[in-house]
Amino acid sequence: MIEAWLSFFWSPTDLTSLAVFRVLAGCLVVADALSYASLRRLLLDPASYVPHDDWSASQHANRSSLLRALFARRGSTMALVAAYGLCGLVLAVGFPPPLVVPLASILAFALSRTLRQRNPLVAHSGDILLGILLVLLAFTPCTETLSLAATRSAAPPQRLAAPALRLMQVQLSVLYTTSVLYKLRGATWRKGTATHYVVRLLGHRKRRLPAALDTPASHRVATYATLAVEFGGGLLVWFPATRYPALLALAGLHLTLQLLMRMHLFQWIMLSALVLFIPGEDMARFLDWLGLL
Amino acid sequence: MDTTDLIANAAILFALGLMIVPSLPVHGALRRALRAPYGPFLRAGLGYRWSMYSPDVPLATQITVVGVRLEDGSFELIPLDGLDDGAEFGKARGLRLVSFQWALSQEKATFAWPGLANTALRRWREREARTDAPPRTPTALEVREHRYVSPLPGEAEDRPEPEVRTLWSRSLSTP
Repeated sequence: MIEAWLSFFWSPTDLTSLAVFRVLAGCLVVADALSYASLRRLLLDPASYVPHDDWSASQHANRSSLLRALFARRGSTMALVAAYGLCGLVLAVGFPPPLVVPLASILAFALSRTLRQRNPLVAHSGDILLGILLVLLAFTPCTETLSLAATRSAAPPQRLAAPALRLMQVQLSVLYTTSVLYKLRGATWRKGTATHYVVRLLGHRKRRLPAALDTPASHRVATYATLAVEFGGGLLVWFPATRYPALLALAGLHLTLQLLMRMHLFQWIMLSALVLFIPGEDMARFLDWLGLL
Repeated sequence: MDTTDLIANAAILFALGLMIVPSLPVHGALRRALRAPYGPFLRAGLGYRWSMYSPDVPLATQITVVGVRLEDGSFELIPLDGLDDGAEFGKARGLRLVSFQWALSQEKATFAWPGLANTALRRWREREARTDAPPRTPTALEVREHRYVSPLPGEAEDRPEPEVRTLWSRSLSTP
């Protein structure tokens, strides 16, 4: 048992996939900051849809007078959004001094959390997942390759132990499998009608399904297939023989949802996180083939 | 294994618990006991316990709208930038605004209703001031929830009339 634990968490591993995730996570943070910047007038400014005075008097602001003061001015709100975007840039590029990337990672989490505290009604589950992954990323050697730090160093990328990478993988696996356990409590998922209702949520719907796919029979298949892909995918990613089919199925699920629904960055966060399961050696070969390594 | 290794492995074990505990299907005292050591971390947003469309998919699209009640008793909806108003869906682009509009009708959004309504009223008055029509006097400001119930599988696709529920209102008849 102890042997298995040590081998799982502490075996040196190729870190190329982790570096790719760092770049993607940085890009996601930048995209999120740009989105906040474009919606600032509506969602964050003192005179937004949630005015500063109302928010300030609510329980959401009670904990910190510093936050109340920060968000009282348009300029400081914009500065927080800009700092958040800058953290994303630092992550994506992988700036060299050893502690810069881990600090940027933690700061990106803290700033994202702070912005959501100003307007708690804008939060979605992707925020929570990205936040957890950013915190764990800070404890990994994620600048070993694909970073400014790596290009300035003469040493070749090393295989290193990265227990936090394993924790990130565990988090994803737990997320997929427990999500199915929750869903099975719902009548629409058990009856096979869930996707029928999902594609009819008018606020989320980006485009209609073709009529041939919008039948009770096809929704039954789609509903049970979603449950199978999430549960099976969350478990089968751990086994080399089934890893790639599981990753392809999960990626297909997220891409389909991205095509049909308005999901902000949620599906891109999930797709980026799936990269963490690709063995580093395979990712290095792929990037080499693309001429990126 | 030295002390540093022990601490590192204990931290990993703690982090594993943080990932698994929020998702465990337990309730009541057991849930509180299991979550107790993770309290600060969960409050900091480090516990993933959400799941999209779980345990059930909403059977209706639920949006929050703002409008004024006029002297003749009619209700006039005030379109707000970036938010769906029922006449048109798709204005709320991206999950941030969709989440915002959805969350507006929840209990946790009570604090946000007066501010949203006042912003809308300001827009309405600005628009009214720009028109040549005789001035109209609103008698009340209302925040409403509109629910568009989805058709059952196999039913016709016609957009239904929304079920309306008033969430908050303020009389405007006295200055």
